[in-house]
Amino acid sequence: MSFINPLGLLGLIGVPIIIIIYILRNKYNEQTVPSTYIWELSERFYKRRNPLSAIAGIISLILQLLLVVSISLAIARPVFVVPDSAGEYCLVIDSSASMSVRSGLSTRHEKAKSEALRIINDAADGSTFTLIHAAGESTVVYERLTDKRLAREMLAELECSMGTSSYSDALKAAQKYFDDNSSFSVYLFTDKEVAEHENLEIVNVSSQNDVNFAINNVTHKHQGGELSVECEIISYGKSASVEVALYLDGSTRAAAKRTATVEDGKAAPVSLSTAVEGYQSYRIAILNSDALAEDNEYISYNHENETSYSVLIVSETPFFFRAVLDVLTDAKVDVVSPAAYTDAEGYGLAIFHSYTPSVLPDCAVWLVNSTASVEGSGFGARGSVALEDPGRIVMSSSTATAARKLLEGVGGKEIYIGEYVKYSGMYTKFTTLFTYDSSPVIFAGTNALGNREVVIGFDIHKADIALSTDFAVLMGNLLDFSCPDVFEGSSFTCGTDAVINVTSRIKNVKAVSPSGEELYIDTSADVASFRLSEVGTYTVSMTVGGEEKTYKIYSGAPAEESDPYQAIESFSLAGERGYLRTDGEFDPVTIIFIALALLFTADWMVYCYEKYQLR
Amino acid sequence: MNKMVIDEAFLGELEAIQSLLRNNVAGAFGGNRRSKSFGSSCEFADYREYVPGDDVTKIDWNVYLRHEQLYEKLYYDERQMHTRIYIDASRSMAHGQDDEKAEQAIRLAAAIAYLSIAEMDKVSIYAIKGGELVEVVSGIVGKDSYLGCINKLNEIEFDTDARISEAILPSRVGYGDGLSVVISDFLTDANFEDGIDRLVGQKRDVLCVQILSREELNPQMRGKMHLFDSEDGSRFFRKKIDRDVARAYKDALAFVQDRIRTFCESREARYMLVRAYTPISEVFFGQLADMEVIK
Repeated sequence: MSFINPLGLLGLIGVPIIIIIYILRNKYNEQTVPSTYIWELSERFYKRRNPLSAIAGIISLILQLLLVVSISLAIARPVFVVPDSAGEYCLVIDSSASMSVRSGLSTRHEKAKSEALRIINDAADGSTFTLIHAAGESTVVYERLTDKRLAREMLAELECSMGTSSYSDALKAAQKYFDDNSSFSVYLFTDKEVAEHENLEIVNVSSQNDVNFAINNVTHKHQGGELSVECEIISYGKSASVEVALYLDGSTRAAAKRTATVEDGKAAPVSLSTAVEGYQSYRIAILNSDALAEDNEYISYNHENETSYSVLIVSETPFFFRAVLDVLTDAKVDVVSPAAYTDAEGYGLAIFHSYTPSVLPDCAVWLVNSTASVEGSGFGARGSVALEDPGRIVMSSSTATAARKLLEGVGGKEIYIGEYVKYSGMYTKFTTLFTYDSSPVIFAGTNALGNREVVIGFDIHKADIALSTDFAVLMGNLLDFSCPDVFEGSSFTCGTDAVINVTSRIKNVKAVSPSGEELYIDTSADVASFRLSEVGTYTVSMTVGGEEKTYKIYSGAPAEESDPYQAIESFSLAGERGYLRTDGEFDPVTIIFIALALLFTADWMVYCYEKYQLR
Repeated sequence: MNKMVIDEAFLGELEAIQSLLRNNVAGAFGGNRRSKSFGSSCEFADYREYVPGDDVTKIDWNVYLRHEQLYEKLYYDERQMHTRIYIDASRSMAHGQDDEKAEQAIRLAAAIAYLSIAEMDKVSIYAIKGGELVEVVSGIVGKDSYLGCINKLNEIEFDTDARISEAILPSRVGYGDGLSVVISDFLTDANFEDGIDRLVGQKRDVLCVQILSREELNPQMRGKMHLFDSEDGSRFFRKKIDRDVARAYKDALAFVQDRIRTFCESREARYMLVRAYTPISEVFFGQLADMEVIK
């Protein structure tokens, strides 16, 4: 036996103190009576009436001594070692969106937690508990925790994610503990059928009668004053007639309604359309009630009105750029000659063709055939190199995300140039897209002002790129890079990252989740992101070029999680399972507190009996 | 006793009691009564077969003529009764508020004596002190003698212990000539039965009167008590007295009373509990009448 707080035993000093007090207070009133004969005789009758009469006089003392001892023990917290009674438990709780399916009063996730709680409660004291939260990214909530109370509290705080679960991550984490100790008792609490499992217990919390409907594959078209929305309605659990409605701009009045007959497990296409000139958002919703409400709606926010910028072309021969911009954007395009150029204030993008400004403007910039160096551009120009024969430029084969995105759709096989500008001394990280003779000729990055910068190291009039099919695609990619939409799309899937294209104009980005949680986004990189962990509308506010802007994006439940009857192929731990137990502990604090309560009650009753003769 | 228990008012009360008894009850307490033996009075008692040597003058010849057998007529013996009253003069009788038990004992003795005197009986009153009888009033006859010496009862000191049997056994108690009254609280484990047996054995009518005070009948004390015995300083009772203990006391008291009553009944003696606070007239017209001690 050991004590958690041995100092609590100091309370035992109270034992002799109480005895001394009892002795000092134990005064009898003396009185002379005619005869003690009857009193003496009464002892026989009293003992017959009350067999415990012998200790009746010291019951109060005994109770008070037991109270002092119990209080001391309650403070000292004795712990007894119980050999071979404890185990090591690893509890893996599936927190995928389907665990939010509600059957009756509780969700599957709540059932899983209560089952895990039962295991914790039943385990002998001294056992260790490891909790793995299998969500989009599986995390170890706690490992080898011996404090049952803390284990229970942290388990209770566990929330179901609305994304998919990474079972491989969870399995990897569980395997680590199993490798450490093969006697680890691993439990997976899930609603999925696990076809194959080894060395662990599956606690299936699914139910068989759940019916769920979901909206998938939503597309829309807004043309000619009519908004048409196409989607698929899928039913799990039974065939049903599902009513779907379309709402505009947050209205609760349906703009259109359809009823689709959906067979169990199959998708049924549904089209909804309504006449509207413009809209901020639309929402489609399934009106039938089901086991998982989170996948019954889809919202799309219209960000087109939010993105507008203008372009300044500084060139004597702007034809190609002007033409391609007219095709690719609705942006306002201004053209000035190099001689007339003073600054590019108010523009989102400045294209300098065969001209190098003395100072970089505070906006996105394209430097085309720039033969001079400019401060802050991030590179140095070493002059033009004329080629005797046209030379083919080579497209980068980099697998980096930025390069792949900038070269998306670009063939880049047969582009020839007549001369090029040799650049060197790049001191900013650029993504090289094309090279000639190992010298970068098209590259993109961020300049010293924090603005996006694209450098094309040759005159497009002295190359055949403008005549190739790659030109428009490449220009489109470079435009998207230079003046990106803040969000690529307005609808996302919960559990994934929402990506913000950060430009120098964007500052102070803050996202507020549907539940009100505030997320402050780091905008130091070109691309910022935050994890969508809830289903619903996220509100993202930011300062764009000094102007406060607010965007809304919708985070929907993953389509695969709508199926309440999913299966996992395998969840097995490699190795030979052992069954060794460790020494457990028995903490009698509950018993001590119950004893304390009983002793207090008994002492109080004895006091009342003595004081008021209640009987 | 410092208090005058027997005073003029009390004697007046006795007179009234005696008057009422005379008017309403024939052949009351004591008096010129026939004794328990056969004698020479004029009152026929029974027949008995003649035995040679008997007085031939008492043969009933009429019976002989009818049955041809000799029978003698028997007559009650008529002689003066002698009422003997024994008062327990122990400290326990005088303990308590206003010595109520001792006073009641004296009043009771005086009353019984008075009624006996009124019936022309002889009366002796004894105080039991330790193992001895102290004669307080000896063989008085007639009211003058009674009034002349009854005040001596006021002088009885209740200051010793009282061993009833030890006191009565060696004393002269008479034979078949009247009533013996033992007045005590009987709160003792000392032998009193042999004394009663002696009285009964001497063909006397025996009345045991147990006097108990209010506190003895229904003790009110509670809490941790150290009780000392008034007669024996070495005896004490130490206990926390609660309702259970008080109930056990009452059980014990009932047991003791029952034991005395049963003993008396087995000896054809009478037992009576007199509460120390009960008026003496009530004792006579209530309890003694009910018991047919007086008729």
